[in-house]
Amino acid sequence: MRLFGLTPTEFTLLFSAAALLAVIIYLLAFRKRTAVVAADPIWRKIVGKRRTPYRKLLALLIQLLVLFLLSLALGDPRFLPARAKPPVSMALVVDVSASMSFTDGGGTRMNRALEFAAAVADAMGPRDRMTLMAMDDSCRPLLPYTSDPQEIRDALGDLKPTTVSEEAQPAVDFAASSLTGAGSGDDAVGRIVLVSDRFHAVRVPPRLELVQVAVGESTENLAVTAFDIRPRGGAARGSEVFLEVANYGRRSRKVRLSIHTREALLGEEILEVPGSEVVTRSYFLKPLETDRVMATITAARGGGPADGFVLDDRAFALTPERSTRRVVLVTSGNLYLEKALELNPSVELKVVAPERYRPAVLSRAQAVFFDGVCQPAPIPAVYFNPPGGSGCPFAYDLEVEFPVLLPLRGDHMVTRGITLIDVQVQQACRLLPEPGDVELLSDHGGPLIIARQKDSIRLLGIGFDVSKSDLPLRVAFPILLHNVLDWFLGEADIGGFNESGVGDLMELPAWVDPDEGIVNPVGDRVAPREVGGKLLLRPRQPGYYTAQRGSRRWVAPVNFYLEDESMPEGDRREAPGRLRWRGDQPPALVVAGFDKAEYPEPPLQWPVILLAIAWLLLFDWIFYVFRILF
Amino acid sequence: MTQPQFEAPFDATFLARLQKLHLCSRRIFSGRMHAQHVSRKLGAGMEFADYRPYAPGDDLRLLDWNLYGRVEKLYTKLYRVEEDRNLFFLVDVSASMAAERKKFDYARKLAAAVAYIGLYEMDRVFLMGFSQGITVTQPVLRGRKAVVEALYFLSRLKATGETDLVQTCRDFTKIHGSKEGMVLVVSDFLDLDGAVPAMDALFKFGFEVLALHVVTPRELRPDFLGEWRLADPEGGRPHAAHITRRLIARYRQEFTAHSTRLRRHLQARQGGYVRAVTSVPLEDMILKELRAGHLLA
Repeated sequence: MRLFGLTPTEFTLLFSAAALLAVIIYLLAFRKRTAVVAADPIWRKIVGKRRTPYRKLLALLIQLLVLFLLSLALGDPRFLPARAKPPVSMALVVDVSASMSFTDGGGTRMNRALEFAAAVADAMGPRDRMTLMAMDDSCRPLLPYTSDPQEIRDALGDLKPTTVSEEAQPAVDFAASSLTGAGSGDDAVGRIVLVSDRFHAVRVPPRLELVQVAVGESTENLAVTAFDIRPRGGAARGSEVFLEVANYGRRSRKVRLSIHTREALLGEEILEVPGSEVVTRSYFLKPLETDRVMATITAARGGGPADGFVLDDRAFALTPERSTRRVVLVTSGNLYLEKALELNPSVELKVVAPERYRPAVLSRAQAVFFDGVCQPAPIPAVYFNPPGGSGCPFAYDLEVEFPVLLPLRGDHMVTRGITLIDVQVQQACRLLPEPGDVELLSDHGGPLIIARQKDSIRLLGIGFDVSKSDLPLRVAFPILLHNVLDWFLGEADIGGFNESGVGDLMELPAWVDPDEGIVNPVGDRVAPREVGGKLLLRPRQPGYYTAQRGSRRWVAPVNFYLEDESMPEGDRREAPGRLRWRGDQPPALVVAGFDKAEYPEPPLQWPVILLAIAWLLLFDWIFYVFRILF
Repeated sequence: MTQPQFEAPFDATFLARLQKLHLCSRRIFSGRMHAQHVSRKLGAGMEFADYRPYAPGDDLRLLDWNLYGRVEKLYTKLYRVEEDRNLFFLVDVSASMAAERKKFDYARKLAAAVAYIGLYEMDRVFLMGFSQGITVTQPVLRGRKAVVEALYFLSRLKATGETDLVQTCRDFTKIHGSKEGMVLVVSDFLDLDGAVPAMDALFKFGFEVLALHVVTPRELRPDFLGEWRLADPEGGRPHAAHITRRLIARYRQEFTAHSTRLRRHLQARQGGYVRAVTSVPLEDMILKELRAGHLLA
């Protein structure tokens, strides 16, 4: 027998309260009234040793039985068939990530997922309970465990796909912990049903079942996976556009690629992108009045959407402001360093031999690179293989050959986007750090690269000669130099992550008012979080995020570079516990193995119990009369 | 326990009606002084009693000359002397009499009324209160003027102690055993084992015993049901009882058996028994019930 109207806890509390009340009344009634009787000798003679406590005790037991049955009747008890299948406590986790907005067939994957969820809710048995959770980069429960399909349907109506990716394992862990406290009885089966557009490699505790249901059928999608603009080098005006279009489908597709601003079309091209291939393009742009440039792919004919997923069909970029960084390189001849600096279009390089170096050389320079030379400098300076000596800001401890490098410290502006762990260095010297120095690269004996800020001047010491290492042969080398200049000139402090993807952490300028927030691409204001003295925001919409305070203005493009979401198919290999749903009835495995035809509604028992209560009350009355009479 | 008011228990009309009543005696006692009751003594009374052969010295006025004419023998007529009578009132003052307020009051009024009749008939009235023995006594009263003293005595009685009728009668016979007269016991007779032996003791000493059994309606028909703690007003540990209608029926049966046993015992010995239920108005009790029981005429 199982109660459908009350939980076991509620039933226990109800009966306990009623029983307590009955016992209190019994004890109060047991306190006998006193009657002074002159004929006490006669009473004593006839009463003798007659005692009747058992009669009252029996009456109390009858009353307790009546209360128990009454509580039971309120609990709507049902006798379940012996062959009834165990009830299921189900956490239905619905993927609401960006890929659920894929359009296939007659609707979006989200619609298919909602149809499936509604069908599962309708197929719930009277003993089954279900909760609903939305999963994207976090997991949100939408309602408590319920057996009411309508309540689940109402909650499903609020679900909309978002523009971020999903994280399945945390969501499954969350659902598992939720099922632990569901309290559906010992015989209930705990089951997580993950409805997504693909299968995920997730684990669940052994006591729980996991069923993954994949919806969606489309296999084609093209996306702009990279888009950037840089100013043209040298004396040329304008900018250079670099973009990349990926075809995640299997068939070759033609799409129309448009480079445009909000107001004007700058150019377009019909691209044929082979299946599972990436096509790159670069274009020159004339100088523009606006700094916001977008790249959009559409259908080659008709101008409609290129595919069923439009979020990744457009990319956003800003035309960079042309800036000239005057850099002095003091070297006796190091082409690796010289050419790497010249590659940077914004660098105006001046090479000076050590013997010709005078402090006046730095009068118009913004940064100086010393290669094997160490002189004090009033501007930001990099010291490659500093020889030490008086006036040299960096001193070294001892020289080592082929040091084994430890992982690079990655949270510094200089080391952003690079790794140097497998760089081979023939000879290096360990620098002596000072208080406040940041060790960026070190071996087990001491630092090899040190970042220092002294009297608002930033210095970088690199304890080896780049010509005696394979660093110049790596892509990381020009990036390192670029990062150094950004750090020196303070440009990396703001908008260091100016080009962000949705869901990435974006750092905002310090002058942004957190209360005022910034404006997202759809025009809403979003408030950043202040963490460790920095204003951070996790953008959730592709487009331009803007902030303005006085004359200061900040714009950052945010692109939908979520490859997992752009993949139209993902993992859809069926396996035990993995089902693809195409709109038919919910598989029995998903809906708790519950078949209404096999599982007739248990008959109501409370009328029988009320009849029993009536009989008991009648018996109690007869017993009362019996007690009074005899 | 608070004593009930016992001031002026009777009004003038009732007293006038009492004066017309006569306390009946089933036996004849010898008295001391002239009164309205015939005596066992034969002498110069008004009521003819017997003849006896003439003896020298007899009053010649008492010779029955008519009889002499028929049988030619001299007989002297004997008359009963009208003398006073001893009325002993044993009023129960045990605590059980005060279990209900009206009961003790009723008993004292009943005793006062009968005493009034006795005093009006110029009898010698002895008033005594008893519980575990005779606890209080009033010196003998005689004459109508002693009514005030009788009432005063009865009003000062306080109900306390246990009932011990055997000890009471033992005390009584020690004091008045040598006398003759009528003993009126006004009590609830809730000394179940002692009532009959006590009455026997009085009969043994030659007293005529009249029992006025004072009971209350609640004693006759208890009206409480369920779980009760029954307390004896005369002390003793209260005891729990589950009162059912069946138990009440058994109680009434037992109570009736006790009363009947007492009544039959008294009547078998020419005694008198009247049950005085406190719900019956005192006037009706005196003028109807006691007359119906041939205690009054």
